[in-house]
Amino acid sequence: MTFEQSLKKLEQIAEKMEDKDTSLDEGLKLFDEGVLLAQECMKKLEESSGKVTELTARLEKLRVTEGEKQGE
Amino acid sequence: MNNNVLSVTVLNGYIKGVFAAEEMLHDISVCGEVSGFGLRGTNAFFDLKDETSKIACSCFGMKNIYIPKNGESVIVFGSVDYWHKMGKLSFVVRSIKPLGEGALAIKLEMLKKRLREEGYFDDAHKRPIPKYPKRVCVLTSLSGAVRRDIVTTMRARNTYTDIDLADVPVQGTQAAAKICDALALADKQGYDVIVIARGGGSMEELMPFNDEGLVKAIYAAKTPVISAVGHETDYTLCDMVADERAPTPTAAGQMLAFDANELMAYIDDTIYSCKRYLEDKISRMRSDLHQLCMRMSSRSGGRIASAKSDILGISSSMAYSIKALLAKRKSDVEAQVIKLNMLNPENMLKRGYFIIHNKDGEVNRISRLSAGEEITLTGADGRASAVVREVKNDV
Repeated sequence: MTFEQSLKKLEQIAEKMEDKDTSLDEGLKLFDEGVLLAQECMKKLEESSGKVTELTARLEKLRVTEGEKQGE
Repeated sequence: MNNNVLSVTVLNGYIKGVFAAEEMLHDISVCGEVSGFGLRGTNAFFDLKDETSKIACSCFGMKNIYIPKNGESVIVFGSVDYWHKMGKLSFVVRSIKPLGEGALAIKLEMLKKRLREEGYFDDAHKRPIPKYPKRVCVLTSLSGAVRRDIVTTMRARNTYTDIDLADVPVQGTQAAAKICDALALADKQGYDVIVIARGGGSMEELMPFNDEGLVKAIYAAKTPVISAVGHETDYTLCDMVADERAPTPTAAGQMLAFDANELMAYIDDTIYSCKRYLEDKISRMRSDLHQLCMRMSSRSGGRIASAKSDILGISSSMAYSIKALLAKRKSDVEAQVIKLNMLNPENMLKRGYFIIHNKDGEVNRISRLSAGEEITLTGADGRASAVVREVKNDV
């Protein structure tokens, strides 16, 4: 699951739990699930290193292709 | 025939005279595109052309005169002149005005209109920009400040999003094609968002971002595209076709980089709300249960009370009966005791009876006695010995 999907699910769980018709049993189950999702999200947020990569090398290949195109 | 033979000089002089006399060819403004522009000292030479024709132009003393670029549309003012020494015709330019922005704007407006009619700017086609992108590709010139603006802005808010920077030229005739190629490449890499970015510039500098090919490439891309070209006031076709337009590259950074701390607080809040909902549920159920218990106990309380009174009734009546029973028993027992007392041998003795013992014990029949036998008489006040004289069983 992507971060966005996890977060969305967490929001849905909160919404369901807020519903008065949700039984206590179901609420407890949902809460467990919600806590797991929240932990997962937090972990993803905390563990990210935030890479910044320059793609010049990859695009160099593109330039070569362009050169060939121009030569034709 | 000989009379008609002219020297070149005479002919050229005659031609020059014709051009000089024609008013239509003097002090006129001509519009066209500059090509082959060259400066020799302060003199400039170039061709002015349109789709089908061209004319050589010369400009002497370029001081204080606008210097056009090749390919630029200009309006020149001057006169046609025939250069008789060389037999060449030339438009002698006295002033040059860039038509540029006006003409470009008209061209651009026409392209915009057409692309709009073709549906390239339709909102229905626009994809939403993910709120929490993990992988972002920025197409920009790595030598510009844009790269720093975007990375710094994003990093200030989180370290979650990975940023790939793809180096592309952002101005010049090759820029649009190269950006298209880079976009197509990036589109296959599964990025969450692609940003096309460039700092501010003149309308001409921003022209690659008005390129029809680029508009179509952005439209065709599967990845959501943010256009962050120029400053807030610059509006390019790239901005219009993109899924989202950022007024500046910094704004694009802000758009993409959610605040990680804020998000963590939000997740915390959400879980806290969930906990509260659960607690509410529990406390509601507890109070329901309590009420139920109350109802049950009030009902059973009534029952207990009536049972209690029943029991009390029964027990009091029982107690009464028992008392009566006991009283009766008591009187019975007393009667028996009186009877028993009356039967007590000692009492009998007191009333004057005697008990006879022989050697076998107490004698209660005359037949147990025999003549001559010694017996003992026991009375209330003592004993006496006697001998039986005669036994008669006929009484």
